[in-house]
Amino acid sequence: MEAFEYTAPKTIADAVAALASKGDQARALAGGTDLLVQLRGGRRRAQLVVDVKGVPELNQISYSARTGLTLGAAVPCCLVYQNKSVASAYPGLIDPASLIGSIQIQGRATIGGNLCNSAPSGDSIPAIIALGGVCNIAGSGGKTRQVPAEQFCTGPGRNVLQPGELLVSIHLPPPAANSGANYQRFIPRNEMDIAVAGVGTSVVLDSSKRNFVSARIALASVAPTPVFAKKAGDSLAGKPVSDAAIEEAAKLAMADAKPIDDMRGTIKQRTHLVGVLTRRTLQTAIKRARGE
Amino acid sequence: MTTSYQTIGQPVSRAEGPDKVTGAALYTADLNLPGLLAGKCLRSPYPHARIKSIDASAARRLPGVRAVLTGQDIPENLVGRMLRDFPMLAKDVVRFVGQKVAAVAADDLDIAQHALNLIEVDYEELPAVFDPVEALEAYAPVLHPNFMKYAGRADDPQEHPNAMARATWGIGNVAEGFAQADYIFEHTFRTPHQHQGYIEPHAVIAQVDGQGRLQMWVNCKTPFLLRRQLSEGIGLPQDRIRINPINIGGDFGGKGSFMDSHVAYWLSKATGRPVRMVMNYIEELMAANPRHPAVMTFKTGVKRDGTITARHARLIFDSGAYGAFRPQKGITYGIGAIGPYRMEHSQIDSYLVYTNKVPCGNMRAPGAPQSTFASECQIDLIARELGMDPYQFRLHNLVRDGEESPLGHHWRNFMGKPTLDAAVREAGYQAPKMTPPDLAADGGDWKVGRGIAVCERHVGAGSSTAKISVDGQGQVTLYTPLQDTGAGFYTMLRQVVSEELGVPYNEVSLVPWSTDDARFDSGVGGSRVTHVGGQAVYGAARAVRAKLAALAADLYGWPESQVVFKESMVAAAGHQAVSLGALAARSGGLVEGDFTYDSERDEDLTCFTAQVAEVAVDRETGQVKVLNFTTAQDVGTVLNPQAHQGQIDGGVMQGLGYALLEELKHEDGRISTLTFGEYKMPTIADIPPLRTVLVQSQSGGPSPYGGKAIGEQPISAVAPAIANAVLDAVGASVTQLPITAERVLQALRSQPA
Repeated sequence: MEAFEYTAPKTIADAVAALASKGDQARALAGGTDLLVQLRGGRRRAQLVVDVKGVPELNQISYSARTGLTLGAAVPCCLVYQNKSVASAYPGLIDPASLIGSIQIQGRATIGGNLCNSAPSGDSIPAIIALGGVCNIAGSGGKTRQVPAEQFCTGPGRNVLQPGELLVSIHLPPPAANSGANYQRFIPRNEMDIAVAGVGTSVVLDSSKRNFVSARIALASVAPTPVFAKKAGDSLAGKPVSDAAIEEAAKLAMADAKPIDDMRGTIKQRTHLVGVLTRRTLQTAIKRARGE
Repeated sequence: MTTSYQTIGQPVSRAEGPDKVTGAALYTADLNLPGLLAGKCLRSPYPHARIKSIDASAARRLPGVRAVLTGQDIPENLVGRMLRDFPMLAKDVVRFVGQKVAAVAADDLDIAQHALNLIEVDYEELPAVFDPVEALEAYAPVLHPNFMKYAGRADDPQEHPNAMARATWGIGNVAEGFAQADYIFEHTFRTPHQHQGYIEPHAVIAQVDGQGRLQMWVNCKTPFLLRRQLSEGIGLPQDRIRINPINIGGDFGGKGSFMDSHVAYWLSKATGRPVRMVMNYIEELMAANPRHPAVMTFKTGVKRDGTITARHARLIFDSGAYGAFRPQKGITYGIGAIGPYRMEHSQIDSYLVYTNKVPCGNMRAPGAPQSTFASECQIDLIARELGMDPYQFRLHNLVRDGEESPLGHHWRNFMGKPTLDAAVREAGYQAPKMTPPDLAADGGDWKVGRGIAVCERHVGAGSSTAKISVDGQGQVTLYTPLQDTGAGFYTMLRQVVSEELGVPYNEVSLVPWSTDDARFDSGVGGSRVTHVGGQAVYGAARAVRAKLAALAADLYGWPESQVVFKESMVAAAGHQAVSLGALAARSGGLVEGDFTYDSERDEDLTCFTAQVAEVAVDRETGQVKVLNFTTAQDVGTVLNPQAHQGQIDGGVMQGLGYALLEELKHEDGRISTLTFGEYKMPTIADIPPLRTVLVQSQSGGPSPYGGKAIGEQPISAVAPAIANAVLDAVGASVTQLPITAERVLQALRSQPA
């Protein structure tokens, strides 16, 4: 592993200034479960590692039924699922937070880091997209901008962050009445594995809980980035909850999947799994929306 | 199980365990010698290419680089465990992705790595062959045109230039047997590379000392054999080479090969300094010595009533680019392929074939998991075609005690039926099949099935030696040339000493020997150590005991035959006991005994394994979950039940990985699964409830106190038991390992509607 400089700023301004000082040769460190492995393996290079765990805004986890959730980019997964109000408001976020890596990894790995690592297989990203997440980004000179989660990743390991920019937090809107969400993935092992395909869905039902008001569906490991399968989710809006509607959404999600053949799976298997997992996550999301 | 022994048969914990879990135990990478350099190799990016030129001048100029070697800088000797076909560094041709073409010694690893990046190699790619069946075609590129000149090759002429060895075993005449059959079945099965997955990668330190003698620390479990291979490669006589003892961080069959040993010597010689080479896990997965893949075609003739009339197995083992990591001359792989079934006609044709892939070596029960998968899966396919339950079909054909094996052996006290019956009973094989509630609730379309597989395997043999001393303080010290691979035998050997000399097992000091300290030792492997190492230690303990008894008789007038050793005391009925130390002190020095044990394999003794897998299969995704796994094992005296159970559980899990997950995947000869993220071994969450039944064999085995063998026995039947359970659950026949979800789905889709 090549030597690098290390700094641990205490403010967003200092963190951003440090990142800006080395441009694309600076990397932010939160849990380090991806970055350190990549540096050791020579898959990423960094002259400067900026440890952002000491920045208060990146450690916040604040939820209210009125404003939703603001989740600091350096909050580890275990603190997400151990937070009772977050766990009860966003079971669809707890799904990926509690299955990424292992117990030990979940003690370090962060949802923000999962987004910034921008792997097509990042388990939390489809869930964040399905939940309508927005990324709060800080830049130099006190500038900030918001980017919808579905627009954050731009390629394998690449995202919208410019040199000198920092992901501060992720915002999730408050859960609507009669809503539910779910993330599931397919892995060969029972844990410590990389999704062959993953699907996150969220649904909002009407007051009768028999009809879809809206739905959002996002996919992992089936394209160079996580995929927001907008047509698939939109196809459910206004329809009665039925196997036929779910099947139609699953078909549309499969059409949006553009997987490759690699050592983890084939195009055929991954596309098939998108269909299966879309059906299964919708069914679970509906159950959750109905309070079943 | 109870025995009449003090320590033998007790589930005592590891005497060497505390040092390991506290980090006090030293491994090769822990050692630091003054002036130690880091060594690293440049590896070929091509599966088959001619090396036109190598320019290492920029690497040599890099500050901190102490030596850069290419194939031009060292003698052209070929090396190998038996067949010597492997150049220490490639000179003219590379034959697999990952082959070493240059080596650097530098002040640290980063500099060494940087220097490798500065070496320019000009390659001309050559036609390559990756499939072992294709490698035997007339049009296949010939990978070793000089094969007939290689030392250590099998004596038979080659059928094809890429066939490095062939063996045939059998009885009767299969053509005649097939003529007697009502039905003939033929199936082809494939298995992949499996890496041993030890925690510690290959590591070596070489130091040419002031006398020009090579001192080596290396995690090799066969140091005496390595010393010979080093001698052949580097040209030093064997007595100028000393392999020093060191702990080995896991083996599973893979730590018997020379790996970087020769190169480390050349780097040390070139620099005059000690050089350490530690493979990283990318190098391990790319270029170590995994289990051979195989393509196996089984043809079986049966009568309407299910009686097997003949079996013919054609086994093609993919050896990769070199045969140098195979310890035998010729081939032994697949010798049990026919299965423990009664028949008058059998034939096994087993081939080892060169391809442009990673050279393969030994892994736990070499050859057997491959052929057992093929053989036992076909047994179920045939049973189902005949409308027979696979258990009944096996019972109908299983060799019974006293009958001839399909290779003509007469196994003594053969435990096939009682062991199979025990597995079936313990597993609840005939009970109703229920989908567990947690699976039923998860939205999958789960179906439950059960599958059986059986195998038999010999007890290992070989040579070992041991010395035991007792000093005037009563300290008992055991000296052994066996290096600790982590399997637990450093505890078992102490138990033998403890039993014979009446001292607590964990107070026996164990000193591992270097190659200077003993004449020879076969090393660890092949289900050998409890038998061979155990008998050597037992013999040494008996020798010490006899000397002490004679001393007591001499000193105290005790009847020699009535001297007993218990609780660190020596006693005889009716006399005042003395402490072991006090007696030994009267000898005027140490009381020592040594013993060398040599043995040949007993072909008429075998250990039988029967296993039952219970799985759930999701018909929608093809996912297989193992719900329960049962192993019944025919055993003799179990010397240490805890270590014995560890071998069973570990073997089953390594077999489960082989069944469902593990595979070195290739794309045009390049392995794409180069991390443990992609090369998927089971984790703790993948361990199903494991059950074990030990079935006591009356005759026992050749180990001290009548022990048999366990290290390799539990692995081979796991994959076919799981495959047969998948077949039972959903009717999908998966004939290629691993049994991935996708392969299950493919098999489901190809079922007749």
